[in-house]
Amino acid sequence: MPYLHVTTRLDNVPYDKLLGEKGFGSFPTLAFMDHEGNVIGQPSDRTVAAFASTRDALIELDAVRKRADAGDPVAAVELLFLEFTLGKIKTDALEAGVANLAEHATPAQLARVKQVVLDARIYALYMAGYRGEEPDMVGKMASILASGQTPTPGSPSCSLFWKILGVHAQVTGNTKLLRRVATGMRADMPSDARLQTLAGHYEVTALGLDKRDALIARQAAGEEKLAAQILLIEARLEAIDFASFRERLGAAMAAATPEQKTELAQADVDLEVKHLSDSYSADADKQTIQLRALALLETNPTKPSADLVGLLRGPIYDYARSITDPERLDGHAEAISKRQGPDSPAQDLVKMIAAMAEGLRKVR
Amino acid sequence: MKKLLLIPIMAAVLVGSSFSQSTGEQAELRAKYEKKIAKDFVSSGHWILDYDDARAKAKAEGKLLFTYFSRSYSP
Repeated sequence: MPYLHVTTRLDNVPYDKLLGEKGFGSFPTLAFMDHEGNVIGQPSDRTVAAFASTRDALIELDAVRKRADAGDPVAAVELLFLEFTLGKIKTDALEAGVANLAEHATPAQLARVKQVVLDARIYALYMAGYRGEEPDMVGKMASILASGQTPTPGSPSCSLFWKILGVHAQVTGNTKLLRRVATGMRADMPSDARLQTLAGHYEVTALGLDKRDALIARQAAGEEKLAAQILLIEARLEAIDFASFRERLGAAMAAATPEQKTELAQADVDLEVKHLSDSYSADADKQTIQLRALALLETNPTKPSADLVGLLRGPIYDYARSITDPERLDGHAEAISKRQGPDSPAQDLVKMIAAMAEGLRKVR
Repeated sequence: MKKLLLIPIMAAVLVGSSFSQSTGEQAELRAKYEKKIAKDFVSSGHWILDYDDARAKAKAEGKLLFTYFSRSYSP
C-alpha cells in the first residue's frame, strides 16, 4: 500500500510532524509500516535492490522468528540477518549476535556477516575521510583490496570503494590499479552508468600509461633523456598531481626538446590552476591562493589554458572583495587584461573586477 | 496623551503586519503543497495521501504501508 507523507509546515494539518514522530529526521525517507503505523522495516538505501531485499525480509520474518523461537539455532542466526536488513539492528549488534551463535552458524552465514562487516568498515572509512578524521582513507581501502576483499557488489559501499580507488589510481598514474578498478566497476556496478563511463576512462588511461611504463623500463635499462617524454604522458592523461609534477619538472626540462619545454611549461601552469582551485575549496591558506591566482593571470610567463581560467574566479572574486581602493582594482583589471589578451575568457574576470571598482566609487 | 495613544496604534500595526505575514506564508506553503501533490509521480504511483485512509486500507486488505516521507515547503 503506497502512502506518501508530505511535511507541509502548514498550520492545522494532521500528522504534519509524522516524520519526526516515527524517529526519522531527513528527506526523503522510505519505510515499511504496519496498519497501526509502527515502523517495521527500512530499506538501507534508495535503490530498487534495497527495496526488494527489505520486502523479502519482511515476508520471511514471521516464519523465521517462529523457527528461532522454537529453538532452531540456524534460524536464530537468520533472524539476526533479517533484523539487520530491516534496519532494526546495526552492524555491531549483528556481528556480536552471530559471534554468540557462531557454533550454530553455517559457513555461509559466517561468510555473510564478514561481508556485512566489511561493507560497514568501508563506509565508516569513507565517512571518516570525508570528515577529515582519517588521513589514510585511501591507503586503508587499497589495503583491503590488496588483501583480496571487496565490498558487496551493487552496495553503496561498493560504489564508494571503486570511486575512491579510481581517483587515487588516476592521480598517481597507477596502471595496475586503474585496470583493477575498471574491472571492479564493470563487474560489481554494471547498472551504474556513471561508473561504467569512468571504467571506460580508466581503461583508456591505462592504455596510455602502458607507453609511459615502457619508457620507464627503457630508462631503468640506462637510456637517457626520457624524463620529459614520461612526464608529458602523465600530464596529458592527468595521471599526476601538481606536487609530483613539480618535483620532477626540473629533471624533465633538462632532458626536453624546445617543443617539450613549451608543453611542460603549459602543463605546469594548468596543473597549478587546478591545484589552486581544489585547494581553495579545502581549508588551505586562502589569501596565499588568491595572490598566486592573481600572479598566474598577471605576470606568469605561460598563460593558463583558456578553458581553465574560470577555475580562478573564486579566489579572484574574494581577493577583489577584500580591496577597498578602486584604483588598485583597476590596476589588477588592466594587468590581467593586458597579459591575457582581449579574446581571453579572463575578460570575464576583468569585467567583474572593474564592476567591483565601480561599485566602490559609488559608495565613496 | 498623544504618546499614550500611539502605543496601541503601533501594537495594532505590528500585530496586523505579523498576521498578514503569517497569512502570506501559509498561502505560500499551501501553494507549494498543491504543486507537490500535482506532480506526475503522485498519481502514476497511486500514492495515498491521507494517513488514516492509508492505514484503514492496509488493515482491510491485510497489507503493509510502504511510506515515502517527502516535503513540500522546500525543494
